Amino acid sequence: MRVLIALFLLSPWMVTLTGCSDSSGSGDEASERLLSPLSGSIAIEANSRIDQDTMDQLGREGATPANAAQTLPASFVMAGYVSRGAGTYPAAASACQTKNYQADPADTFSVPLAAGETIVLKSFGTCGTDVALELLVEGYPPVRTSGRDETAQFRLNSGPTDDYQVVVRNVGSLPARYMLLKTAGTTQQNAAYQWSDHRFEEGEAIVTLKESAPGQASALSAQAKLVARKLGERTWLRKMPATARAQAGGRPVPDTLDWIRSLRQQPDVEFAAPNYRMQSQSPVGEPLYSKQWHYDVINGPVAWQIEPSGGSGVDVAVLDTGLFRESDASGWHPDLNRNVVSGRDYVDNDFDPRDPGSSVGGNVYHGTHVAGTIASVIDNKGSGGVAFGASLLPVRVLGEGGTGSSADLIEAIAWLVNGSGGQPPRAQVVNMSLGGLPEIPQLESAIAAGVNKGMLFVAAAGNGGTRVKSYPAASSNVLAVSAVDGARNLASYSNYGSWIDLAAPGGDAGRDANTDGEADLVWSTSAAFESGAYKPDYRGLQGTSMAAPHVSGVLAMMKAQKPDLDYGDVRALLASGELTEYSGRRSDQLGYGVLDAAKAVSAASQGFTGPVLSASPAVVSLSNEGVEAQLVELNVYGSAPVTGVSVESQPEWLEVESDFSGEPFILNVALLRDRLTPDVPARGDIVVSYNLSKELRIPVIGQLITDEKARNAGRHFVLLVDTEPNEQGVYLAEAQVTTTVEDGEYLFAFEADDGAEPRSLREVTPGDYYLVAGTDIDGDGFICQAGEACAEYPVAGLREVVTVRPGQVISDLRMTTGFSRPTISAASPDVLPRPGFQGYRLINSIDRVAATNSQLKALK
Amino acid sequence: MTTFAIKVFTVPAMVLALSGCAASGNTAPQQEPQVRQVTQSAHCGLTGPGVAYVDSAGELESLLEVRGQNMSTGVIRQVDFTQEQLIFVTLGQKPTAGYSLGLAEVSQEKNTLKLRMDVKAPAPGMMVAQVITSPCVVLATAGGNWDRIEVTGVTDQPLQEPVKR
Repeated sequence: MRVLIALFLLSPWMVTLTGCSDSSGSGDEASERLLSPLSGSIAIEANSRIDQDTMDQLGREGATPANAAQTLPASFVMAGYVSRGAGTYPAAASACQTKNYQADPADTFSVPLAAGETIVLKSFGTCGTDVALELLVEGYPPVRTSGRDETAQFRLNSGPTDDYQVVVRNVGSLPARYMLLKTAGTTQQNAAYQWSDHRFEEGEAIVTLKESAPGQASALSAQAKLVARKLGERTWLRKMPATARAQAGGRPVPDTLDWIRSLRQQPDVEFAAPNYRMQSQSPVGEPLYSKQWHYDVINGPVAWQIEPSGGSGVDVAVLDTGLFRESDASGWHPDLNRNVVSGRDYVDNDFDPRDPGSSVGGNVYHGTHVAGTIASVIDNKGSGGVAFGASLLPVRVLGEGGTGSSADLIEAIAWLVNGSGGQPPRAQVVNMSLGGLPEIPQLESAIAAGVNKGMLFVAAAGNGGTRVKSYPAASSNVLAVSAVDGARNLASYSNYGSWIDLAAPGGDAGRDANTDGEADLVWSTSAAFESGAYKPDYRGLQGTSMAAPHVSGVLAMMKAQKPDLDYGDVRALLASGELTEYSGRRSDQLGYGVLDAAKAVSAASQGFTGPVLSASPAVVSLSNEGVEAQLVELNVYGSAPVTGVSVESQPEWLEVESDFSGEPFILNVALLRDRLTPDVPARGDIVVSYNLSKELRIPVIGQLITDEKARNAGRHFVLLVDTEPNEQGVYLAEAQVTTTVEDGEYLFAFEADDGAEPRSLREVTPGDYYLVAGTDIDGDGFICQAGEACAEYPVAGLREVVTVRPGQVISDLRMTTGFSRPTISAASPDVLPRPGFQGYRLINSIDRVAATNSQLKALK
Repeated sequence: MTTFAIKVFTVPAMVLALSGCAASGNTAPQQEPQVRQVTQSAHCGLTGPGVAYVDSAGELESLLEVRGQNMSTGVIRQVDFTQEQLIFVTLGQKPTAGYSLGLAEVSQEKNTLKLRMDVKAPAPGMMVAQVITSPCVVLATAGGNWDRIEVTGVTDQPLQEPVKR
């Protein structure tokens, strides 16, 4: 895309000014920028910091590696350089230039750390080569980078909040660029985001008295000041007396814990514990929820309030590839293990339904992914399943490569049906994310026998993008599920036709229909190859395989509400629009519509009239550099009236204005900057109570970012590069200036070509260019490599041509630099992949002399 | 899974002629090309059918960093580019599990390394997992005087890739 920047033409008097300025030799920067043919400024992403002795610092005359520790703030995204020795980069084709590098074996930092916080180290190596690094936190054993991303993490599990010495050490043979991160809110950190395991209410304890202490109980009852609430026969929620707080010196957290320790010493106290704050109780509170757009599509958050046990007591059979089990591990994938019950393997004909993976290559553990969507557990780690309280019964019918035989499927279903007598079936819901079979009478019979026992069968419609019936989905006793994207449109691959019953999110990697900046993939449990073995992990996949388990999970919640719900009931509810967002007309694409978990669960809930409140958005994230105030809608679900709505509590750093005069109820949530600790992310819940005993918790994250002036992404090279790469795929620079940070931003200005040879690096000739900037912290002659800051005009990933014309001035160009890179999404559809992109090559001044000398050119 | 089109070149006649000249002018002794299969995966994240020649760690990373891929990257990264080079052959996006490709036959004809691939697909009526896949195979090659790769068996027309070695 070519964009001609809005310019103003130099008028004659301005030309005169130029002349005056040049002749006077004025050093005034503003004048220089005004006179420059191209100038502007570069802002810096929040929390950016730079190692004090990167290679471009060490490359200066007489420079040596820093001895003193560099102090880092509470949140940072820092880039650095370490090398065990000095040397010369190999002359690779495009990955680096043949330049010298200096030794800097280790970098030392002082980092504020609190229990539960994590430091992440990522090594990017140099010249396209991986280099292992060590992360050493004072008092703890070193952690070495490993895995595909050469990443190491250190989490302070316990211990005092303090400034810790953190060392990054190179243990490889080549230099390495690296990044050290300690942030909340970045995608990387969000993936590891956890609600604290150990947060509790200050000054409160839950105390259980011994049975032999009735007198003490009476005394407690009488001491209204010390008792917040009676919780049980001998259990009380106690408040800490002021005297205890004073004795502990006023430090709130140790204060409370000291008091609880003293309570435990008291002879009448059987047990005393902190009043732990509410932990996540549904998938909404799980760290991966922000990626799981598919749960909002099915109205999951409301359903989980109606059925808070998440399908507890219901067994869901997963007829698939089996489940991932780490070699030598005692359990299944840790986000599934608690819900898994004994299953079968019909491929190997035994009772061990583990997915053996692939003998020849990669594996995404299809059955593990499907099982996770149905019932991964709520544990403040990873993700939660639709029916997070249900039991998973793994039955392996798909072998290596994800293929299997209909005979195994028939046998597996017969085993689940558990005979034709009075024995109960082994599972109430059966998920089959498989297909491609023709109609087989024996399979139909097996399924029919299960339906007669009240079992519910769900299958993927298939990914052929055709009307052709795929069994078992097309069976009249099975719910056939087609797949939709984030905008509830049929996914491009999904089968359709008169035999489709309903639709559910299956994802579509080619779309970002809900414009959340990520491709519409369904995220769930899986495994990834790290350090020579497969480890539990999470991954996004697409297919009707991913859609079916959403329906199975909802059916499990319905069964929990109404155990005798049978297939006839489900079909009746489906036809009356009770299970889906139903338009009133069945379609071949979506059947009776897209699954609506809340409608479905309430339809199954005997006597359910509600009401249930649901927040949109389900999680609120505020910061002074992003969204500082947010409107939250509280939608009412159910026919019963909502009474007594009030905001019960909220974090003290939040202002909440409510409008409960009509539906939907509205909360205006705004950040109170002055109550936040700068640069430390705060987390809390807005608690809305209604109808006496009901409450809705809305998780909120707040951040006050105050480092604008302190940001530093390192010395930047600003380049005007050719708009096409050379034969080696390298973008060559035509002009180059350097700039260092001033008050959290960079200023730059090129000079007009004065015609004298050799042309200086700063001089720009008329032409078409890309304007880019970045750091070269490893000194290999390339900027914008992984681990180096990078800015592109106007937006990183969306370069536009800047045309420099004779006599014209382009000023006040603004762009933003940072260490993160843009992602490809529907929100930024112009961003294209850059396979093999190695950054922008800096001008070698010797080359410039040779290349621009017209006589030399003529000789050549 | 990132949409990622590997360059597929249909070499025009003129270029073929040029290649012929280059080959005939090369007096280096003929070596038998050695090709081995490094790994394969049903989830390479590369959604178009094609062939890619990789002779540097930098180029390799751009293929291994594609979102959605789940290959055994360790064995791929162990390849020493001073001894061997890599060839990625991708089948493109497929609607289900059950697709794979492996190396069936290697030969050299003049300046062209010819690879015949064995593509497996689920038989009609076979039961398969309904997940979108993107199968590929990674090969390592050493020796041989060739500057073009021709892959047959993956698409109707042979895939051809000129190579600078």
